[in-house]
Amino acid sequence: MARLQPKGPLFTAQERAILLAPDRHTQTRKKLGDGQLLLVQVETSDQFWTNSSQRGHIISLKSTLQQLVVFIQTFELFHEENMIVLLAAGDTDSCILYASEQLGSLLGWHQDTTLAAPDQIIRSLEEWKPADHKEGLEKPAVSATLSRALCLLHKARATPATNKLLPRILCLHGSPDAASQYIAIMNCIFSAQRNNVVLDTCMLGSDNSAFLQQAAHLSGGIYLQQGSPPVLLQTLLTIFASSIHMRTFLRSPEQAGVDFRASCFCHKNLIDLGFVCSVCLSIFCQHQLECPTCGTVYGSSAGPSTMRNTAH
Amino acid sequence: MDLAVYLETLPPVTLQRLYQSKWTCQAVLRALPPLAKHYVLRLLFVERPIPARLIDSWHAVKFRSTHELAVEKLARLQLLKPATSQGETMLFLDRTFQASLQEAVCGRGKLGMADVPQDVRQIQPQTEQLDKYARQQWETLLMYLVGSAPCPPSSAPLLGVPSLEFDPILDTAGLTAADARGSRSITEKGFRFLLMDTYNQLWTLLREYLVDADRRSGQVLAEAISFMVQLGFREASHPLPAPAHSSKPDGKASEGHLQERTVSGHLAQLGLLLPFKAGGQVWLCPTRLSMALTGGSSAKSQQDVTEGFCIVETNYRVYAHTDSKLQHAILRLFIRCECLLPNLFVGTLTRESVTSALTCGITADEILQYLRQHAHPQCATRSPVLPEVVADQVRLWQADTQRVKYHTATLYHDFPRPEVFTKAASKAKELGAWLWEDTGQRTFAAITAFHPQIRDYIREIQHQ
Repeated sequence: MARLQPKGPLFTAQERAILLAPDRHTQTRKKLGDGQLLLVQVETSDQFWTNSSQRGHIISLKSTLQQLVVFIQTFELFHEENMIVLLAAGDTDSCILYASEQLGSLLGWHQDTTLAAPDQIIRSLEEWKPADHKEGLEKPAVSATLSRALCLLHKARATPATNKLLPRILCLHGSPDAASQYIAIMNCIFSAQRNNVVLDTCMLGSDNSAFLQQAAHLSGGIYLQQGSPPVLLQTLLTIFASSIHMRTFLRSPEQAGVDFRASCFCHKNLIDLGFVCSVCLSIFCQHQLECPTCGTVYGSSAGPSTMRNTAH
Repeated sequence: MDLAVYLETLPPVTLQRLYQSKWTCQAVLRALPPLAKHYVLRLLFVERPIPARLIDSWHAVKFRSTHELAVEKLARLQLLKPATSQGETMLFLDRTFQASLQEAVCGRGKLGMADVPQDVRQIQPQTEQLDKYARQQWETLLMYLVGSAPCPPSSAPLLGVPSLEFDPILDTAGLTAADARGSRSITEKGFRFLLMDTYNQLWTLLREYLVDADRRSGQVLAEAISFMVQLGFREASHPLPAPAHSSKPDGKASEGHLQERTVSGHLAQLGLLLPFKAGGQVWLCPTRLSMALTGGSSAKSQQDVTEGFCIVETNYRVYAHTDSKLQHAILRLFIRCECLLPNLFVGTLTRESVTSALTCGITADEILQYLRQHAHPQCATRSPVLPEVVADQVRLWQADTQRVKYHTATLYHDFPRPEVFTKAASKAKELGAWLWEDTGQRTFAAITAFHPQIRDYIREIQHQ
């Protein structure tokens, strides 16, 4: 099948990913201390946890949170400068469950000093009433939580003391991707890159997330599909406690392959090969006469010379 | 000098006792090198010994030596212990340490305000008061060291414990030395001590203090260390009740028993704790200094303990915004003072001022480290913190002082015959004593220590 190619060349998804990724070797990271600013976002959507218990997973949300509490305490102990924020990612809403002492006031989160960390987390989760479940929204909004996480990190880094910390986001995620969120997630990834935020992902269920894989790949983080859920704590301590500096010293799990598929901007289909606007790099599964994103009109002069046979 | 280095010097039995305290274990974890910390973390919840092979595969290929250092450090601290199973070397984390650390991370982490009654909270000292007290006590001690204060910091009368004798501690630490007439003066090591960061200063002194405790018994040492590091894990200004007097009413550290109350009294004297009275009971409020106990020597804890005040310009001029007499005295060690205002010291790093400091035994790196550590917060964010030209020049001045070597020498001249001169000079070269010669004038110089040998030799050949 021959397709008329827009002004821009035809890229595979992988080529486009390379095009978008800044050269990570020349990228100069600001010399920072050893302390880390970690934001853990854990999926609390009912949908995922009810499904996973039906599918016979031994791990429950409560046990996940308990393991996270131990991780948080260990992480804070690990280095005197380490700070951590725990964000619950619900179906439509997100909520801070816990923040290290100095961060609480910065982020406008009020800590009850009379409670120990584990009780605090469980209580804030109980107190939090997520907005009513919207009909028609079939998948939880990862992108929204991710954007909020980035905003919180940005806010948390406003003081001189926290500015020196290495920022990192760890997504504990379970649901499969929603193709409609592709653009939003890509935008999050780019802003993370810009702010030197590393995006790590630890998948809780058996699903894989192509978008979060790309996020880890582009920001230099680790993407891990967890084999057996009950050892979450051990995985967190072994792999996700180390800062980006320390990872050069340790042997980190390598990503076998990254699913570079993008979803097209026009029909939100996951595609391997598509058309890319030469001006704004938007992706389309079909040929367009005018770019719907940036409004560039592709010249009608695109004659037979720019025709190309595609693999399809 | 830090906690980990100090603990390495202790015997395994004492370490075992120390690891029973969860506070000590937490402090040890923080004091470890980064890679070793990660290894402890990975092994924290592993119940069975794991093959040494596996641990050897954890590091990235390039960093073999770093890995070996980390494992060695863990072994020296008795944290990583070997076992053999089916002919294979296995390693496991020390069980006592593992249990204590697990307890620490699974239970309540920090000591909170929860157990402090409301009325105590209301009258507890404010942050400024704590800072002032800590600074005052610590500076008095340092001033005493340099000889500008007549006596060491006084103890707090509230606790009613005998005060700490500083002279023996300073002496055994090698910071002061008593001369023949019995008067004390600061040593070369003492000068360098002044330029150290507070964390290292604190541990240098506490180490001597603990050695003293160790002499009493291992148990006493374990208690003292546990009590000290526990303070580091409190937030500054979260008060704790003063430990009670023991059954002995006089509260004296008799029969080799050093009580927590005595230790707290001594720490209060050093400025780590501020005692205050509330509701008929004595409470102790940790100051910023006590944060340094577990904070490690990282930038943040440095900032917490000392506020930066130095601005160094590229023209060698130093502005120090401080009213502390002690800091003025320290700065005067290597800076020529040009102007002194109540809260500002203005001076210049000159060749003379730096060389005079170098002759006191202070090194260029110590000077630079001091300036870097006390850099004004606004300068501290710059990179490099000190102007490179200044840093390089200070190092060059040091290199200059080492350019010339001084020898006590003897000059030999007026040789009767040329061959006597030649033979004598070559003999001196043979002995390694030769320094310089002028063949035309028949003169040479040699190290005086070899004079008797050369003299005898010249006499010998003269009469031939």
